[in-house]
Amino acid sequence: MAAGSTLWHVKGGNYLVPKQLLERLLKQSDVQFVQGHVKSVEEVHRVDADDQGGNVRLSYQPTNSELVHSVDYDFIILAFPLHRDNINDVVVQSKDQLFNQYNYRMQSTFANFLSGQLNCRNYNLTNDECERLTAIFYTNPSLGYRCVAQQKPVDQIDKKLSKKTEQTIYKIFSPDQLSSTDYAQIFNDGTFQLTQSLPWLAYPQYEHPQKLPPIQFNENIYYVNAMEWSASCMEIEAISARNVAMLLTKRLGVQLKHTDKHVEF
Amino acid sequence: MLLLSIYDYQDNGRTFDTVEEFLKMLDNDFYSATQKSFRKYLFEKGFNKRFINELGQMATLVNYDQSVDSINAFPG
Repeated sequence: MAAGSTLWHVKGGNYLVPKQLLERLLKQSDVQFVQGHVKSVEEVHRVDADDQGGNVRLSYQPTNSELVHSVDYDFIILAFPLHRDNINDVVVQSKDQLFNQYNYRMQSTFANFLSGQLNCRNYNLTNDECERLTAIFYTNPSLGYRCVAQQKPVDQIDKKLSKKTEQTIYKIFSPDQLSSTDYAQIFNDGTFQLTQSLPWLAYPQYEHPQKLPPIQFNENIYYVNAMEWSASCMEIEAISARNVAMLLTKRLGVQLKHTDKHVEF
Repeated sequence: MLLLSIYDYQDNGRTFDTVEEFLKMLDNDFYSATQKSFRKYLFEKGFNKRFINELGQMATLVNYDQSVDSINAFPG
């Protein structure tokens, strides 16, 4: 159990991590990179034993193309979440009858960014306490919002807070779209202005007992995001990606080179 | 950190075939944690109602936008 007002972040945007990984991969090996939307992944059943074709068929629509391409591969690794909301966009066909995409849902959350001054009178705070207030966590699940957190530039190293103004930016998480009435409960009247409101499928909707998707659909189709249904964070995704890479190298009988250095934080 | 032992396993070439196997590999308690609500889990561990309603609830609402009653105990 842990909670904080800052999230894992990279200057310029977290998308730079996969982007730069890809750029390095393209430089260091002869991989082919194709951009497009995956439509389906299915097993290929070969009648002729001498047939040297791949075992799994990937159908995808390249960006800026109307045509769907189909290519056979030896192995396919899926690295995006399969759930009820994308059930019509991606079809995965395999022997594993235990996986029903319909049973898995994502939690939709709004990330709202606003400038303004927090309504500290709500909590009877002194001016000094109000100045030091950088995050509010709400414990009542029937409220329309979950938390408020002051936002700072990612490269602000100075631990001492700069004085708050009406331009100070806050992020509010909410399960549904919020209205001005909601914001007026958090900020002083007339001080707040909405900058951005983004709905996103942030993490799985958990349940108990928890259904857990398979890491392997069949001998040739792997699913990295299965692990997200244990817990959803960057660390789990990285562990899962490494596990799938190791499963595949074991399967192929390839010896893995240990090039990564152990770093203590 | 709870996940730390996985790095030793992975450094030594150990893999897991299912999410369940991963959880059991780390700790016997982790898989069973996915089978019950976070509220029930904390209550069984001896935490009182106020701790669960304030600190437990806060952690799951902030991190996952889900309550201690709907979420299972492993993400919690």
